[in-house]
Amino acid sequence: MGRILAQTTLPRMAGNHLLFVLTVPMTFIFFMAASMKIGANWMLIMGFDGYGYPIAFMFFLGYAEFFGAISLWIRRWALLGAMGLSVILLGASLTHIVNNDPINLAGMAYAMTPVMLLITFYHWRAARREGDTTTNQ
Amino acid sequence: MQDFRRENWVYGGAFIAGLAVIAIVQSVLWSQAPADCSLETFGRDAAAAWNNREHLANSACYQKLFRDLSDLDVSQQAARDMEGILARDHPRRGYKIGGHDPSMWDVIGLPGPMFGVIYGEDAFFENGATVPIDGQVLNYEPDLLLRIGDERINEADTVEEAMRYVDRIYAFIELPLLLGDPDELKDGFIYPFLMQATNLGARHGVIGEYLDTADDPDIFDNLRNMTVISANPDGTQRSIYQVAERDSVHPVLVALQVAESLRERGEALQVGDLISLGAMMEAFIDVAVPIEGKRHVHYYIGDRVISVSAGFGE
Repeated sequence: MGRILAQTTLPRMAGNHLLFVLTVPMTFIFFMAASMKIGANWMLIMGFDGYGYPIAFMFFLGYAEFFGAISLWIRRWALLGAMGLSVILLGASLTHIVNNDPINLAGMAYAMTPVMLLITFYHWRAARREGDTTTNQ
Repeated sequence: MQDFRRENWVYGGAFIAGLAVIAIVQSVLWSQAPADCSLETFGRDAAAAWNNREHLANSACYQKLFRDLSDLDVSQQAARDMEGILARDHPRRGYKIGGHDPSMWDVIGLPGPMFGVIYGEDAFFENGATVPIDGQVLNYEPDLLLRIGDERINEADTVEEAMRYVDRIYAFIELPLLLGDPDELKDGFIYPFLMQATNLGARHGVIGEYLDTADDPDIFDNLRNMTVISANPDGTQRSIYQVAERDSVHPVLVALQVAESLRERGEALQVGDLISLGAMMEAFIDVAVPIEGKRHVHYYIGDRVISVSAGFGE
């Protein structure tokens, strides 16, 4: 059991409760967003058509969000996954800015982007410390 | 740092490439051309559904068809095909515009506003009427009706100019008919290219109190700053819509858009024509169901208030 736990990001979260508090809702939100994209939700299709993005891109983002959300809980992949999700959110925010979307449409992406960047930073910091510890041993 | 070791990049990159392939395959499968419907059959199917108070046959197929085409002109031609059949048996009663605010066009993937023509002897009900739902899916929409007072509106270039040729404003609850089968369309109930093809669902409405524009010298500004509040039978608020906060344009722009749409058909607005401005509520969908009592909509236009009430029966 201890070995399995060590493969997760829970030890990192035990040392950084804010990381846990931020990761839980972000995971749920990404799962929700991913299910809408993979399930070809028509509201999203309208949006992607409007921005001129292909439907394949919508499906790809859905899968990336789904597995990215899972990666946040796996130690080996958390940092890379968080970086990937940050890129997705930065892209989403940029799309909203470029299209001058109203805040009720863009607000979620604007709010999630700094949170995801913070999660990425926490994983980067934790990974660096873990690397230092390994080196010193 | 262990997380950035080479094998992680290789495995991670390969996994992402795999996701991309799956996404492309899914999009190809999803985009397969529908087989159970065509543009040729649409007008007949849509008019039959409208006349018989039924859902549009092959709704999901048509939704997909219009999405794949994503061409507003094609959807408008489909609406004209439907209208051509309706016009044989029903009088023309008014016009409507959907998506009049250009700031929303990118969001919903449209190149311009949608246009609809209201048909039917029973299109409009009197203030306070109980509208029979009769198995239809009618959307409850606090709206406003403009009456054209001068045909010079067809030459108007600006909203200010158009305002001068509107002689009356009615409180109005529009009850567009959502022809698509909700079981088939699910979250795509209001897909705009299909909405346009179904003549924007033009069907019923309840006309309430009115305001003559000549009685209000500040009518132009007052309409721009109007607040529309919808209330339930028990007096609780159902929705509130502050035009200046929600819309990036003046509501009378709709009159110019109708004039333009008619011009493209070789027609023109006439004195007495009625134009529905569009839904003024937060939600897109609020399907009317039988209720006890009436719903009320109040329009705060400057220091004047006009209202309209409607109930809904089986």
